[in-house]
Amino acid sequence: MMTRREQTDTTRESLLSHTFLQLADTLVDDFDIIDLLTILVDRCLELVDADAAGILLVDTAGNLRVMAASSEQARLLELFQLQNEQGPCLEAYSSGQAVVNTELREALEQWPRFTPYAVGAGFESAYALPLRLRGTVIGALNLFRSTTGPMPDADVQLAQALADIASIAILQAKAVQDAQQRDDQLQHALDSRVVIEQAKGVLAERAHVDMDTAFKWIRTRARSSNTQLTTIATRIITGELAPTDIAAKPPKPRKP
Amino acid sequence: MTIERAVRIGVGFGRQAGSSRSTRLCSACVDILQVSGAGVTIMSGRNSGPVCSSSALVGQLEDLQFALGEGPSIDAFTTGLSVSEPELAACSASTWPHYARRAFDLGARAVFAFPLRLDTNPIGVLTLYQDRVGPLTEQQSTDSGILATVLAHTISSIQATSTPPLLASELSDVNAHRAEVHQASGMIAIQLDTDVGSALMRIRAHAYATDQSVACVAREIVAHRLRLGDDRPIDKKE
Repeated sequence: MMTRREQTDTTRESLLSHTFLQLADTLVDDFDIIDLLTILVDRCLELVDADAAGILLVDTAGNLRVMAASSEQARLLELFQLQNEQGPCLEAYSSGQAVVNTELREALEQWPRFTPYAVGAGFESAYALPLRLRGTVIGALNLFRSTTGPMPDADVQLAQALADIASIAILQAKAVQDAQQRDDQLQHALDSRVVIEQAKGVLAERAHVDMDTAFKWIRTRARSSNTQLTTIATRIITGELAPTDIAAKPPKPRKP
Repeated sequence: MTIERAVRIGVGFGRQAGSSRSTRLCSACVDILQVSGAGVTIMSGRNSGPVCSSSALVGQLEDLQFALGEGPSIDAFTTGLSVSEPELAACSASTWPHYARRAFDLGARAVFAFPLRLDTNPIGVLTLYQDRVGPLTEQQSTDSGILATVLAHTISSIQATSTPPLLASELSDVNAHRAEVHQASGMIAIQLDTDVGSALMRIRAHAYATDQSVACVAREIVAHRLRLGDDRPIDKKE
């Protein structure tokens, strides 16, 4: 019969191998860096004895950014470190060494602003592991615990292993650039929305239909031609597509 | 000092639970910064869209900038720097010739704008309004900078829930009242045989000349009660 400890270890082993497989999968498929890092922080909490986790990554401009966090609170903890330029994650990033802090309450001198904030948020200890890439540090994984006392060494090593896998994945995908693209997406989405509304107006005026009908025509055309809504809308605005080209039913049936 | 502030910011956001995330953002800003009003707008080089405003009046003030094509948010976005106008009435005519007067008429006395940035380029602006003359305190300025970062990340994560190229519905819904303006631009572009950008300028000019809101003029156009060019209401179909 297995002891309780052995059972826990078995469960943990299978969870661990599953996590590594999942992370490895992302190396081959088209993957989203945010998804990968989110998997990483979530798995960290399942696999090691921590209560919150967050990841900071350096971007192409050399600034650190919060890339993933296990909760809103964890995200604010990371942001707070960035804003105040102090804390375990920043230390791991700048030194390239793991920051193993057993008691936050004893770290007031080390991080005079961060410590009271983290303690106020209910945490007692903090760990930070560098994300390393061929000798270059590209970010750090932060772990917070709400209990006192040291985290088992095995847990720290495991977290570092997860962080290493993530680093490799990031290199392969030039993922930091993806993150930049994600920000561009917001503005692209804003522009798209405007273009679609304008196209509705153009169609409504040219074909004497209401806005709902105009939108249905645009959507139908986008689907039938497997084209993005924005592309169809832009073509309508430039006059490249006429109402007769895209009307579900031509507004005025032509006589033969 | 800084810790207290950060805790206040955290608590400020936490306290707003219940409403949608985007609505929460502006009420949290007012709560944390203790200003009369706050508005958040996302912007691209060409377009802008409100994310939230702390009151209907702030909504009007934000729309005013969109209608006039000038104002502190636009400057903060374009320059990437924060804008501070502690006394709107004394603001020189060359800064925002139309906006300053109209905003003053609506009750604004001081206005401040902070770009929301994730990397190098801003994605929008946090605009703060005061109903009394005077600069922000040092603490308010610092907090606004922190909030601008928090807002940028929050908005980015809201947008991340959407399927590109669509705007996340949470951000899109608050833009509904702008939809008619863009539809009207499309209609006017056909009526005047011009491009949509020039059409929007014509709508803005008409709104300004007739002392109506852009939204009002747009509604008339979409309802076929107003055509531009002749600048008079259409009577009946000829």
